[in-house]
Amino acid sequence: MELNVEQQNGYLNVTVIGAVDNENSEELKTAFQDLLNREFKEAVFDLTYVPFITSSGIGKFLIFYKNIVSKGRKMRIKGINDNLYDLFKSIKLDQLFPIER
Amino acid sequence: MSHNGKPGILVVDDDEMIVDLIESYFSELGYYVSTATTAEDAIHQLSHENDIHLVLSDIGLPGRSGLDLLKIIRETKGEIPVILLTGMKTLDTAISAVKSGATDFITKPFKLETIRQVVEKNLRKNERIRRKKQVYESLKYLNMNFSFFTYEFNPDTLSKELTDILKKMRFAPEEEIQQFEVVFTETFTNAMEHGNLELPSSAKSDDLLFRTEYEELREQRLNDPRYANRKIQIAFECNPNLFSLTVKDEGPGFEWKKYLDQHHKIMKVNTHAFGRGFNIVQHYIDEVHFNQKGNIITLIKNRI
Repeated sequence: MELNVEQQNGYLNVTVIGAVDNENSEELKTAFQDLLNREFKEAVFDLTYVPFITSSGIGKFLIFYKNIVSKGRKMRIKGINDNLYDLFKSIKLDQLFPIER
Repeated sequence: MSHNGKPGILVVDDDEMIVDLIESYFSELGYYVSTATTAEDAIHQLSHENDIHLVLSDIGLPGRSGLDLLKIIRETKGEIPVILLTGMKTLDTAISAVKSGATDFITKPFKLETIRQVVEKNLRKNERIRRKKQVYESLKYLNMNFSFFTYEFNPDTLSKELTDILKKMRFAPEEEIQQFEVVFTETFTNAMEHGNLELPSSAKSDDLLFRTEYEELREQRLNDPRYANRKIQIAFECNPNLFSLTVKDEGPGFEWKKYLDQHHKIMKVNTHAFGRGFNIVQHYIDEVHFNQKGNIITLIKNRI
């Protein structure tokens, strides 16, 4: 799994490339620590290249969300595949932040 | 193959000279050759003989044409190779026939050697396809059992391997099969961490900066023989209709009933660190069963 990060006009554009399983969700955690230190008003995660995410990976996104929302920042997910979209909807993640296909 | 191992060919042409010529040529080469001068006769022979492996037919037959014959063969005999013989006048017809299911075509006038090459090429190709199908058929049935000590168990690795097996078995379209890797990972991780290592979800925290109590405890118990030497037993079965996965841990079990009923009632996002993996499993799997104690889980997924 890889992360490409670009920062522009207050947006943090993060492209995640590859599946997020238990092992590399730890890498996600480390990367998210770094992102939290940056200045941005909204983090946009592009998951076009993510075939699946385990609950451990989803957990990292939730922790990231909890951390930024407490500071008045926003988060959004885009480019998600149909399978993941259905899953995210089913566990109601869309109640927390926008999820776009 | 039949007739003492000889491949069987049915030659169909209203020109008896051509039929005789091809019949004697292929008979000398060791083929079993059957002949017909009309599509009706060919259909009759195909329905009474099981030893025909390839049909060589003229397009311009009296009555029903070679194209009609092709259509009937595709409907009744499946993928048996059909090679059409055609004059230049019907070349366009032959090309569109190949598009609609003919295996190949040969233009008249032809050399017998050319026919032999085309026939042999397509018989070889068909044999390869047939064997491949046999392999896939046999791959539809699978029964595997695994047993691991907790200290040596890697849920991600085994999940990938089982997912690869489902891909090879063509259990579902590839993009849908990937979702099962998540199901396997969640199930194995639950058995390992919450079952055998008895790690409480309450030890997880929202901290990204430091190691959580959960991670500390996980490492500690993986080095403690009382937990690390517990076994995880796995049975994986796949048949043409479904796959099933049974995972048994040696932990104290859990109150599965309150989680099992939860899935269809999710109204609100679960931001806590427990139950999410199980929600994912229930989202993708058709049936989830537990034993009374809650240390054996069986998942069943019907073939898509």
